[in-house]
Amino acid sequence: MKNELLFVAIGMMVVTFIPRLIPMLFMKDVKLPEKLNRFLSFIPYAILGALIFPSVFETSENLPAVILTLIICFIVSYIGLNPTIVVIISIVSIYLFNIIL
Amino acid sequence: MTFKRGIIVGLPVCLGYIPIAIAYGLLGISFNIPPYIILLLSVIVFAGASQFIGIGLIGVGASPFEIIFTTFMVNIRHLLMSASLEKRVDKDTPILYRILISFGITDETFSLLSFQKDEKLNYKFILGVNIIAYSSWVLGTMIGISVGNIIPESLALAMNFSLYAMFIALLVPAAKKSLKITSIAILSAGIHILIRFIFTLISIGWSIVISTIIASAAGVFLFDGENHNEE
Repeated sequence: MKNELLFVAIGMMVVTFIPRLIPMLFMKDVKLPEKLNRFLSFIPYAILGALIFPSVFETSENLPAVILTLIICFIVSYIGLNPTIVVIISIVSIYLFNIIL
Repeated sequence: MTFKRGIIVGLPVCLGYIPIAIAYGLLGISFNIPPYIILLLSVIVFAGASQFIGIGLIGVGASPFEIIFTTFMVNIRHLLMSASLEKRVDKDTPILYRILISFGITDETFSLLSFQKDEKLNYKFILGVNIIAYSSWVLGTMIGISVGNIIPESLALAMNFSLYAMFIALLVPAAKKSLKITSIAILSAGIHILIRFIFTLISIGWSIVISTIIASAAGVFLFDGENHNEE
């Protein structure tokens, strides 16, 4: 387990460093096709969608508490509150809902 | 344009990083990941989104290869940033400095550097920005780990939700501005849910990779033409 995590850490370093390094060293005037550019720009949002659902429902055995916290979290994110504040509000919500419900 | 000016210009990034890094350290602890791994990721990976996602994937029990591949997918956008920044760097910047500069490219430092008025950026200036950003990221992680070790069990359980809260806080404001982003995120989540319930042989990590590729590709073909500048 520990060695496996160390391997993960080093692997993550390699794959995050290489994309940053290659263009800085070798790319002078290469331009990516527009479609590929847009594909790449969508990736972060697609990943977030798949990361949130359905795993978020497995964070607590108390499903009503999770759903209510999700709703609150969406609302405060929609208003545009700072992510740190959204995280704090959500933790307090799920903590309280877990006690009440 | 000197190193010192870079540090001053980089201060807003520093202020933004410390709370996120603290949250990151706390999350790692709540997922029972050894503190030295949590810190090591901040020291050698230095990429916020990848580290959060990496911890999320370790948390759901994804395999090392799935985690590394997903990290690669998440960070492939840095290719574009590095390519764009390369054009602003002095042509005669030594290779060693190019390596150091590229290690420090993140969404935040890139945005900050891109919006500088000077056409060419001195490498000492860029290094100043990078070093202040990097130090605050590592320092914030240490604080998060320390705090995470002393919070009570019931609160630590509630902390499990915080990773998702963070993801939602990143996604919703972007989705609000763009129907495209909303559709792509929903499509990706939908495919992922479908795979998890129907093709149960596919592991969760691969399911995320497959959903991401299909949804992003669908985005390219469904929404032809118009520009979008979310990043």
